[in-house]
Amino acid sequence: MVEKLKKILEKIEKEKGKVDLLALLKMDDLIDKWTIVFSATWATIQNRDEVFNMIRNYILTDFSPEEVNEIAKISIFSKDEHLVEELLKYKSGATFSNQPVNGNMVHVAEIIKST
Amino acid sequence: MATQNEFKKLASERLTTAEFLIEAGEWLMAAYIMGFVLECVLKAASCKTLHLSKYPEFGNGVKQEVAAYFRTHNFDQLLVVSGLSDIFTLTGKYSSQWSGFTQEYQGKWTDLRYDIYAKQFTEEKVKNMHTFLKNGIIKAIEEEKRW
Repeated sequence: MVEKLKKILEKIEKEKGKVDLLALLKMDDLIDKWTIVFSATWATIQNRDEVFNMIRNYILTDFSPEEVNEIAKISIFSKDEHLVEELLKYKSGATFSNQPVNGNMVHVAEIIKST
Repeated sequence: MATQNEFKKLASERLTTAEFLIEAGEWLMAAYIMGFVLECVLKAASCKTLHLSKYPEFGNGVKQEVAAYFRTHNFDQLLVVSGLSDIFTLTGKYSSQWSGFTQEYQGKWTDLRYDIYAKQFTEEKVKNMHTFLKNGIIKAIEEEKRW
């Protein structure tokens, strides 16, 4: 999934511009699903639906049905969101497990892009 | 524990409460109450999906892993029990509304009562959350006749 998301990231950056944060977080050990966290200065509340659908469509196209089923949601935040600020402290390619972020336990994290 | 109709009534009443709080500019408390509304909505849907006269309560004899799905304040877990995954997860036609609302609750919604989160809930964010909840999630469940 990480490698596929890197390729999706390339497509998004080519189409829309620089992405500040792309991360995969597993925050719930019971259902064991991922949350995609995305932040870019061009992704605003005003165009949120368009950005959501762009990411979603790439995932539905490039991921297997089993991989799609492993994703709970796509979270799109501005760069000043506390969760984003916390995740931006990690470098691209970083992974960590069982650490509290923004007051909540993150069981697994894959930081795909961080600027 | 409450019945499906009692949860529906509670959801409707507390949504009105959230709207009063939004009018009053109480952003954090409005977000907190909207979390409660979604929990009631999902529990009402669970009763319908699972054909339960009442939302279940579990004694100590039940395996805790099973009970955890029903007792939780975590929306992604409640979604599984509600049987609404087909419309709200990524392949579903209302996935945007689900993600847009629930992304603001990164753990249990009940944690939002603490003031440390107050700065994170701005007027714009809370009004968007209200739109996702009322005109997105609840409207979808009504249209799909899932509660």
